[in-house]
Amino acid sequence: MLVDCSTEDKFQFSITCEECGKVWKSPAIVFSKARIPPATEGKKIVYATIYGREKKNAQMKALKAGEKSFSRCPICHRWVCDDCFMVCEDLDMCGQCAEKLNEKGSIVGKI
Amino acid sequence: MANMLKELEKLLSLALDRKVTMHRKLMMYLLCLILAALGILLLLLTAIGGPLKAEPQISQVMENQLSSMSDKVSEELETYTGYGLQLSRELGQDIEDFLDEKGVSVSDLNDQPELLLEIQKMMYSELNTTIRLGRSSGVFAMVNATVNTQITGADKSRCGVYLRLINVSSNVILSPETILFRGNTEIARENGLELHNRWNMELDVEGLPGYQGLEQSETGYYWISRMSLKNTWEDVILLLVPMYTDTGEFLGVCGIELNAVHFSMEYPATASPYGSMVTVIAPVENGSLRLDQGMAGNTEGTWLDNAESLSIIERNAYYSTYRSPKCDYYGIQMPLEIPGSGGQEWAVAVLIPRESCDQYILRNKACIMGVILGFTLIMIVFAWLLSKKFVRPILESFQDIREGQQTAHGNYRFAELEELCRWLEKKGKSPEAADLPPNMVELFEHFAGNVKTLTPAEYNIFQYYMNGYEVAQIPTAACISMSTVKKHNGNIYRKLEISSNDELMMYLDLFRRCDCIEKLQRDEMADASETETGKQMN
Repeated sequence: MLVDCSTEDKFQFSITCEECGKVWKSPAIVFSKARIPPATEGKKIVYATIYGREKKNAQMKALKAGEKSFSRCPICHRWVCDDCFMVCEDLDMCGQCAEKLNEKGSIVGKI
Repeated sequence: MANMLKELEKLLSLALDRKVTMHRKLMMYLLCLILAALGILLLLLTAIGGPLKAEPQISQVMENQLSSMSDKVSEELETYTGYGLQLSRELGQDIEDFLDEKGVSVSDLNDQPELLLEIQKMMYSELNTTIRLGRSSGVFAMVNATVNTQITGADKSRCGVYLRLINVSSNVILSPETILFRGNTEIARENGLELHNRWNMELDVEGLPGYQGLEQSETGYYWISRMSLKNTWEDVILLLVPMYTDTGEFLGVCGIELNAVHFSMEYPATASPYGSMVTVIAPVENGSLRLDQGMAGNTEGTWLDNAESLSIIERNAYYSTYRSPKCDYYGIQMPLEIPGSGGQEWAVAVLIPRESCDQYILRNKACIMGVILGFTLIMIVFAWLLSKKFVRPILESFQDIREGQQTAHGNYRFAELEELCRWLEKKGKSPEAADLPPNMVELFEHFAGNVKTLTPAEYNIFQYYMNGYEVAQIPTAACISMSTVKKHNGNIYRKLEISSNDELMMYLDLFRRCDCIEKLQRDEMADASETETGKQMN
């Protein structure tokens, strides 16, 4: 679901709506040791470990934030954005599935 | 009358129906236990000789008896002493006047029967007055002279008169009531007296201890210890008072007799619960009571023998234990202020046979211990019954509550238990049936009705709230976006006629507290929703 868009200096992830292709990007989180070159080979290993840890945390945050913006269709199991997800009477589902199953409902993204 | 009886009966039944509180019953139970403990303590104290000892009581009884007997003995002996001293003064004066008139001295009276007869006549007059007034068993007087100095034993024989009561053991006054024991027969003839069957002409001073001392010095009077009257079966103690002229010449001796039979009659044994109490007076030698030299009152009920000496073998805080060859006695003694021959000290004592006294102490102890034991057992049984009666209704009531019968009879024996049962009964009732206010019941029913109008998708979200989820937790749990949740929330609020999530939470909380949350449950929907959610999460 999450796509890694991180660089050496920042961590960022994106989710793409599997119906309309709309991309959602998580807020970029700067690496704490960005622009600080490791003085030794040892430091380089240390920084690499810190980078891995901070990236994992950033990924968890991005997933949490993304989950609030995307819904998973219970029929086709795709992750879709609010503009492609419908609130129906019996079961919420994506617009494509609703059309196929002839279910009526309202789009979440439409006010 | 019948109405009054009926009213009384009603009052009685009301009093019996009154609930006893647990507090009061517990107090009674504790009181029983405390009394039982007290009983056990008293039992132990009595067993080891505690405050319920019989010794102080025995000692008190003996002290009372001793005080009474001591006063009586002292008074009697002082009376006799008074009469004896008076007799000595008057007889001394009469004899001195007689000697002056005749122009002779006492030693000149030897071998002068006529003069001695005249002196005896004078003596009789004084002695008769004294024996009648003093009611002693005998009186005597002798001059330091004898009728015949030539016969054998004349140095121990003294001329005098000895009058005795005919019957000291009887209160009946006979006539003549006196008898001549020693003296000239002419005295008996002139005064109509009978002669004693052991009559003798003169007195024998050999048997009078201390007579020589009186003869040789001007010492005072004294009582001599018990002696047997010569040729008779009778024992006496004698008061000896010397007679002197104004110039200090020894004239002779007069005195008063205290008969053993007379003493025995005067001081009967006193019956007491502890045994027969006997009064004795006796000289004290090295801490022992020389009863063989003293007098004993009536010894009925004891084995006391006049011929024995009582030595103190033990002395406790209350009384002493005296040992005689035959048996032991408990007793107390007090010094008797009478002069004895040779400085002998006398004492008056009260004695109780040890055997009967010990039997009484044991009997008394057993009786007290029996009573205390009975009391303790009763208290223990009472406490046991009380505890049984105390616990049984509680258990029965609990059983009733378990079986739901408390409303059926509702009759509990303890006020606290009844209150508890009522509370439990009240708590067990459905809130809409009794406790909730009427508008609340309507509100609940209205809300539950509104819940039924939710679509299955909305109810799916509502279920998360019923299961205690927060709004922020639902997107992750249901795999939907926050916007989807919010869209559903808007519909749920509108259909349930509430305005916020807080209000929804308050309703759900109220349903939970009243155990009515199942009223909002849709079984088939819940199952389906849970299954679906589970799949999604997988």
